Amino acid sequence: MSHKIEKPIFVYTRIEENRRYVSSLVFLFVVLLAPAVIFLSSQLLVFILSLMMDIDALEPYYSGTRFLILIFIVGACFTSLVVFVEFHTAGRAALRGIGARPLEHGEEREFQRIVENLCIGSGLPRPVLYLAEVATPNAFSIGLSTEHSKLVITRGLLELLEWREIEGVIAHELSHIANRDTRLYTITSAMESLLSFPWRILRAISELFGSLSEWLGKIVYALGILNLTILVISLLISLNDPYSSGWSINILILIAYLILVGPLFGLVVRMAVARQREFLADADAYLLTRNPEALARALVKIDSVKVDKMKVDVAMARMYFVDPRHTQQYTILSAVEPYVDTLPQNHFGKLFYVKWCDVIMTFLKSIRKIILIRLNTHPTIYERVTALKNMGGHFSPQKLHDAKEVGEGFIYTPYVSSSHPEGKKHYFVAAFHGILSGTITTVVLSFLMLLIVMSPQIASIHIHVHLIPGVISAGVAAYRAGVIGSKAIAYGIILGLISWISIGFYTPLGIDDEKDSPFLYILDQYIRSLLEVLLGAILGALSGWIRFK
Amino acid sequence: MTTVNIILLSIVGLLAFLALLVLITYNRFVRSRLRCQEAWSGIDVQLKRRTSLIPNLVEVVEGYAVHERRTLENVIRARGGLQGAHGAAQTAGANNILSEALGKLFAVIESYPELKASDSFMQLHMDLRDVEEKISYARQFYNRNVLDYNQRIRVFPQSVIADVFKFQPEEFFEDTESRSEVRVDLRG
Repeated sequence: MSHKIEKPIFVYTRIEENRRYVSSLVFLFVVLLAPAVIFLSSQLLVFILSLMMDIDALEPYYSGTRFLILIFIVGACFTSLVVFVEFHTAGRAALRGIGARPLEHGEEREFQRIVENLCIGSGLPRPVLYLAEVATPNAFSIGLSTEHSKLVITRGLLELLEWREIEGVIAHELSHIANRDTRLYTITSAMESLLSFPWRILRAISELFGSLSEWLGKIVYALGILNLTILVISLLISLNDPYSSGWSINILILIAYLILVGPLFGLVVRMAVARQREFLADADAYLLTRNPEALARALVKIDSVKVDKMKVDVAMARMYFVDPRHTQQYTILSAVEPYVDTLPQNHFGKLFYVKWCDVIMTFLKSIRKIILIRLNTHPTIYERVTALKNMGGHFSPQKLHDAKEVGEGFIYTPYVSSSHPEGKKHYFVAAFHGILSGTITTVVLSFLMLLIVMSPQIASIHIHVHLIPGVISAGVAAYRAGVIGSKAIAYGIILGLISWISIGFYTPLGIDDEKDSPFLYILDQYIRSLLEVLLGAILGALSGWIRFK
Repeated sequence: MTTVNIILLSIVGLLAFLALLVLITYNRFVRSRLRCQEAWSGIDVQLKRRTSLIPNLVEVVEGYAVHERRTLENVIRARGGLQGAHGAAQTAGANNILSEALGKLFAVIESYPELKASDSFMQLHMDLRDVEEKISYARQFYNRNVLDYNQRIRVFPQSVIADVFKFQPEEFFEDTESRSEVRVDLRG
């Protein structure tokens, strides 16, 4: 990879290029993965149906082609729902993830002025500005189009950097918006988080418990992995069982896909987006501000800051100005030399001096990286500063040295906000929404059940349909409480299951056989379902509260 | 299907291909020129803001600094020059003259501490600085667009098409470094 920018390529040609790249990526995603995903989710649906109903009673329907087609269509609908939700909330999920709020008109006026000026310079519409009260200095931009792009900075960034340096950072982010990298990143991070869905869910749940206490989170994580292993092993054993092998193989494929193949594709997606785009954005920022030194100083300062890392989803990391998971990774060598004195003119020149031990070390390191699934989303700060220098920036070593010291001495003073936009009321509203949607579903479902009970042919089907309202109410409540994207769906399923398990066996009227009295039975189910809705909504709202408190 | 037919067909195909190429290039030129015009309107907005700030400034300064009529008149004249300027190069020159006149005015104002401390002056000063910064950014964007457009219509095979359809190169909005000659010419 050469970091040299031979000539300033005009921004419009780059947008064209990027658009073609995005569409081919999405096309590939759809063509290669969609059939597999649809097939597997239809299998999942059959599995869920078999949980809710007696599968033997379904046998005549299940074997028919018509049923298979129906299941396939429903699976496709479910998949596209998840994809839709994920794509349209990926940006907002990143915003919620670090608790950013939109800046008001007169707030941080100097910052807003910088953004305005740079927008004039790059011919962009002004993005909506967000501020996150976070100590780690960083910035990112999201959005599927330039008109609807959002630019987020942290309070730490405002406190740490001088105006010229902030200008460099903003110019970098605006270049991402101008080059349509934001869209590319938003889409790829949505894809990635979709593909590594089960791991994300596991991490989300362990985070949920981890915010109660740290070791609890770790235990839950370990339990989750243990559970999956046991599941796979038991499925492998049951392959020998002549009665269940047909089912087991399907589910085994499903699990293998969800746990191994999907995340692997996610990695491929992550690698498909070249890190080159960061260099490009740096180069554009240089062209826009004509002040590469300020940008380099900003990079060095941010890198040498000693504050807590941000909790950022792996899939979102790409969108940031510097990789938020790697704060202070590259300055461990500590001396300022890596930045300035040894800056090589050409990166490839180094290859001739490589010793064997270096080769082995690099190999081991890359293996470690792959195992930890921690492939870099950004070039190192060192590489970026070098690239800026190679582009023709002249900066004095002294200033970079000073910047490093400033960064190391940075102490974050939390900003006391005068107004708190979202209080506890927010979570009550979330629970209310959950109850409302769950109740509506219950009413609709009980009508359906009435129909089922009235018709003599399928009256024998044992029904656990009241699982659905609980899932829906928990999901909606979690979404309203701030859990976004496919995570909200997953929370809904898990919390709905929990409430189903805790209430599902309770029979308020003491009737557990529909043959005694069908209507009383339905009433019984109805009350139970409402109770589940209540519990699901409370759990959903609570999960949001625990996660964002 | 004779050989003549094949040759004829291939000639027709080639001509159609060439016509398509011309069409695409022409459209690119038009698009690029439109971008220049849009970028120019970005500068224009800021220049208008600047000229509209001058009368207020003159009014405020007149109240305090009675003896600086000449400097103020220079500023007013420079403003008039900017309002009457046409085309990028001329406007840039006029804008530079205005910058210079303003620079002189601010140098003179240094000796009027009351004026400097007054709220209205401070606000105006800040606004002017902001506008100047915005002009310099808008200029950068405009010049980049012009550079792209001029490059497009001058590169060889396309330059033929540009000549046929009479695409003229746009003028740059020159920055302050290259203004020295203009300044000498228009000063007296």
